[in-house]
Amino acid sequence: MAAPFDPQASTIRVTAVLQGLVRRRARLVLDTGASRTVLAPRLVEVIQARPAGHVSPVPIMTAGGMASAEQVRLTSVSLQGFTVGPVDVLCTPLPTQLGAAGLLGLDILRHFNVTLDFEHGELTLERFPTDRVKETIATYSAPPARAA
Amino acid sequence: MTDLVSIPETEKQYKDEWLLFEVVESSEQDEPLRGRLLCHHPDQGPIYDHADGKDALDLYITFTGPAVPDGYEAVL
Repeated sequence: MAAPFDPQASTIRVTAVLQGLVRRRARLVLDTGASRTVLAPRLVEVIQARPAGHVSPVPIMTAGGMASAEQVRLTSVSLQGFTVGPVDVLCTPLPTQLGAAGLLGLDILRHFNVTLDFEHGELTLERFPTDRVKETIATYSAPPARAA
Repeated sequence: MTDLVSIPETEKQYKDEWLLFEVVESSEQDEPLRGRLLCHHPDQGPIYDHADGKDALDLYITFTGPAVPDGYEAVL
Protein backbone atom coordinates (compact mmCIF):
# COMPACT_ATOMS: atom_id res chain seq x y z
CA MET A 1 0.00 0.00 0.00
CA ALA A 2 1.21 3.48 -0.81
CA ALA A 3 1.74 6.29 1.67
CA PRO A 4 1.13 9.86 0.53
CA PHE A 5 3.86 12.47 0.42
CA ASP A 6 4.12 16.04 -0.81
CA PRO A 7 5.99 16.00 -4.14
CA GLN A 8 6.89 19.66 -3.66
CA ALA A 9 8.34 19.25 -0.17
CA SER A 10 12.08 19.55 0.33
CA THR A 11 12.20 16.13 1.97
CA ILE A 12 10.08 13.00 2.25
CA ARG A 13 9.26 11.75 5.71
CA VAL A 14 7.98 8.32 6.66
CA THR A 15 6.54 6.92 9.86
CA ALA A 16 8.81 4.31 11.39
CA VAL A 17 8.10 2.05 14.34
CA LEU A 18 11.34 1.75 16.26
CA GLN A 19 11.76 -1.06 18.76
CA GLY A 20 14.44 -0.79 21.40
CA LEU A 21 13.56 -1.85 24.91
CA VAL A 22 10.64 0.49 24.31
CA ARG A 23 8.60 0.84 21.12
CA ARG A 24 8.13 4.28 19.64
CA ARG A 25 6.79 5.72 16.40
CA ALA A 26 8.58 8.65 14.83
CA ARG A 27 8.82 10.47 11.53
CA LEU A 28 12.16 10.05 9.76
CA VAL A 29 13.49 11.68 6.63
CA LEU A 30 13.90 9.22 3.79
CA ASP A 31 17.53 9.76 2.85
CA THR A 32 19.04 7.75 0.01
CA GLY A 33 22.20 9.80 0.49
CA ALA A 34 22.74 8.28 3.92
CA SER A 35 24.38 4.87 4.02
CA ARG A 36 23.18 4.37 7.59
CA THR A 37 20.06 5.24 9.50
CA VAL A 38 20.64 7.99 12.04
CA LEU A 39 18.59 8.75 15.13
CA ALA A 40 18.74 11.78 17.39
CA PRO A 41 20.18 11.02 20.83
CA ARG A 42 16.98 12.00 22.64
CA LEU A 43 14.99 9.56 20.53
CA VAL A 44 17.50 6.82 21.30
CA GLU A 45 17.02 7.62 24.98
CA VAL A 46 13.26 7.25 24.90
CA ILE A 47 13.33 3.97 22.98
CA GLN A 48 16.10 2.76 25.32
CA ALA A 49 18.24 1.30 22.56
CA ARG A 50 21.43 -0.29 23.84
CA PRO A 51 24.90 0.30 22.43
CA ALA A 52 25.83 -2.13 19.69
CA GLY A 53 28.49 -4.50 20.82
CA HIS A 54 31.03 -3.78 18.12
CA VAL A 55 32.91 -1.08 16.23
CA SER A 56 31.66 1.95 18.02
CA PRO A 57 31.98 4.84 17.41
CA VAL A 58 31.81 4.79 13.63
CA PRO A 59 33.54 7.40 11.47
CA ILE A 60 31.01 9.29 9.38
CA MET A 61 31.25 11.78 6.55
CA THR A 62 28.74 14.61 6.48
CA ALA A 63 28.36 17.67 4.30
CA GLY A 64 30.07 19.57 7.09
CA GLY A 65 33.07 17.26 7.31
CA MET A 66 34.20 14.17 9.14
CA ALA A 67 32.81 13.13 12.49
CA SER A 68 31.95 10.01 14.44
CA ALA A 69 28.76 8.48 15.77
CA GLU A 70 27.85 5.85 18.33
CA GLN A 71 26.03 2.73 17.22
CA VAL A 72 22.95 1.39 18.95
CA ARG A 73 21.01 -1.77 18.29
CA LEU A 74 17.30 -1.76 17.50
CA THR A 75 15.40 -4.99 17.83
CA SER A 76 13.42 -4.01 14.77
CA VAL A 77 12.29 -1.19 12.52
CA SER A 78 8.88 -1.33 10.85
CA LEU A 79 7.80 0.66 7.81
CA GLN A 80 4.33 0.46 6.30
CA GLY A 81 3.71 -2.74 8.24
CA PHE A 82 6.93 -4.47 7.19
CA THR A 83 9.52 -5.25 9.83
CA VAL A 84 13.28 -5.65 9.53
CA GLY A 85 15.84 -6.27 12.20
CA PRO A 86 17.74 -6.44 14.33
CA VAL A 87 19.55 -3.46 12.91
CA ASP A 88 22.36 -1.29 14.20
CA VAL A 89 21.79 2.42 13.62
CA LEU A 90 23.84 5.51 14.32
CA CYS A 91 23.16 7.92 17.13
CA THR A 92 24.42 11.45 16.66
CA PRO A 93 23.06 14.95 17.12
CA LEU A 94 21.13 16.32 14.17
CA PRO A 95 20.54 20.00 13.39
CA THR A 96 18.04 21.36 15.89
CA GLN A 97 16.17 22.95 12.98
CA LEU A 98 15.58 19.56 11.35
CA GLY A 99 11.91 18.71 11.60
CA ALA A 100 12.46 15.00 12.03
CA ALA A 101 13.85 12.69 14.68
CA GLY A 102 16.24 10.97 12.33
CA LEU A 103 17.27 9.89 8.86
CA LEU A 104 16.17 6.65 7.26
CA GLY A 105 19.19 5.40 5.34
CA LEU A 106 20.04 2.73 2.82
CA ASP A 107 20.81 0.15 5.49
CA ILE A 108 17.06 -0.19 6.03
CA LEU A 109 15.76 0.96 2.65
CA ARG A 110 17.64 -1.78 0.83
CA HIS A 111 15.31 -4.31 2.40
CA PHE A 112 12.60 -2.95 0.11
CA ASN A 113 11.82 -2.04 -3.42
CA VAL A 114 11.13 1.65 -2.97
CA THR A 115 8.90 3.46 -5.44
CA LEU A 116 8.61 7.23 -5.34
CA ASP A 117 5.72 8.30 -7.53
CA PHE A 118 6.15 12.04 -7.76
CA GLU A 119 3.29 12.38 -10.21
CA HIS A 120 0.81 11.14 -7.65
CA GLY A 121 2.72 11.82 -4.43
CA GLU A 122 2.84 8.21 -3.33
CA LEU A 123 5.59 6.25 -1.64
CA THR A 124 5.40 2.49 -1.92
CA LEU A 125 7.60 0.06 -0.04
CA GLU A 126 7.52 -3.47 -1.34
CA ARG A 127 9.20 -6.17 0.70
CA PHE A 128 11.24 -8.64 -1.25
CA PRO A 129 9.48 -11.96 -1.82
CA THR A 130 12.24 -13.68 0.11
CA ASP A 131 14.39 -12.64 3.03
CA ARG A 132 17.53 -12.99 0.95
CA VAL A 133 19.13 -9.75 2.07
CA LYS A 134 18.59 -10.33 5.77
CA GLU A 135 21.83 -12.10 6.50
CA THR A 136 23.98 -9.55 4.74
CA ILE A 137 22.70 -6.32 6.22
CA ALA A 138 21.37 -7.01 9.68
CA THR A 139 24.70 -5.96 11.08
CA TYR A 140 27.43 -3.67 9.84
CA SER A 141 31.17 -3.70 10.06
CA ALA A 142 33.03 -0.50 9.41
CA PRO A 143 35.51 -0.69 6.54
CA PRO A 144 39.16 -0.43 7.49
CA ALA A 145 40.43 3.12 7.73
CA ARG A 146 42.34 4.35 4.70
CA ALA A 147 46.00 5.09 5.06
CA ALA A 148 46.79 8.80 4.99
CA MET B 1 -7.05 12.08 30.51
CA THR B 2 -7.30 13.95 27.22
CA ASP B 3 -9.89 13.15 24.57
CA LEU B 4 -9.36 10.73 21.74
CA VAL B 5 -8.68 12.57 18.51
CA SER B 6 -7.93 11.88 14.88
CA ILE B 7 -4.14 12.08 14.70
CA PRO B 8 -3.92 13.21 11.05
CA GLU B 9 -6.54 15.92 11.67
CA THR B 10 -4.86 17.10 14.86
CA GLU B 11 -1.51 17.35 13.08
CA LYS B 12 -3.12 19.84 10.68
CA GLN B 13 -4.24 22.05 13.59
CA TYR B 14 -0.74 22.68 14.93
CA LYS B 15 1.60 24.52 12.61
CA ASP B 16 5.35 24.04 12.94
CA GLU B 17 5.14 22.23 16.26
CA TRP B 18 6.41 18.99 17.70
CA LEU B 19 3.57 16.74 18.83
CA LEU B 20 3.50 13.74 21.12
CA PHE B 21 0.56 11.36 20.81
CA GLU B 22 -0.47 8.25 22.64
CA VAL B 23 -1.65 6.00 19.82
CA VAL B 24 -4.71 3.84 20.43
CA GLU B 25 -5.45 2.92 16.82
CA SER B 26 -3.23 2.56 13.80
CA SER B 27 -3.58 1.29 10.27
CA GLU B 28 -2.25 -2.01 8.99
CA GLN B 29 0.67 0.03 7.67
CA ASP B 30 1.48 1.28 11.19
CA GLU B 31 0.26 4.80 10.44
CA PRO B 32 -1.18 6.34 13.61
CA LEU B 33 -4.91 7.04 13.24
CA ARG B 34 -6.42 7.84 16.62
CA GLY B 35 -5.01 8.73 19.96
CA ARG B 36 -4.48 11.34 22.63
CA LEU B 37 -2.40 14.47 22.21
CA LEU B 38 -0.09 14.45 25.24
CA CYS B 39 2.14 17.40 24.46
CA HIS B 40 2.85 19.99 21.77
CA HIS B 41 5.70 22.46 21.65
CA PRO B 42 7.73 24.44 19.12
CA ASP B 43 10.88 22.72 20.39
CA GLN B 44 11.47 19.00 20.50
CA GLY B 45 13.11 18.91 23.93
CA PRO B 46 9.87 19.13 25.94
CA ILE B 47 8.38 16.39 23.78
CA TYR B 48 11.11 13.94 24.74
CA ASP B 49 10.90 15.07 28.37
CA HIS B 50 7.21 14.26 28.30
CA ALA B 51 7.85 10.85 26.72
CA ASP B 52 10.28 9.81 29.45
CA GLY B 53 8.85 7.25 31.81
CA LYS B 54 5.83 6.41 29.70
CA ASP B 55 7.26 3.11 28.52
CA ALA B 56 3.93 1.29 28.56
CA LEU B 57 2.28 3.70 26.15
CA ASP B 58 2.42 3.51 22.36
CA LEU B 59 3.83 6.96 21.62
CA TYR B 60 4.20 8.80 18.34
CA ILE B 61 6.54 11.75 17.87
CA THR B 62 6.15 14.05 14.89
CA PHE B 63 6.85 17.56 13.66
CA THR B 64 4.15 19.32 11.67
CA GLY B 65 6.35 21.81 9.85
CA PRO B 66 8.77 21.16 7.02
CA ALA B 67 11.71 18.87 7.79
CA VAL B 68 14.00 21.54 6.37
CA PRO B 69 13.12 25.13 7.28
CA ASP B 70 11.95 27.43 4.51
CA GLY B 71 14.87 29.19 2.88
CA TYR B 72 17.23 26.27 3.45
CA GLU B 73 18.25 23.45 1.14
CA ALA B 74 19.23 19.99 2.32
CA VAL B 75 22.38 18.28 1.03
CA LEU B 76 24.35 15.26 2.14
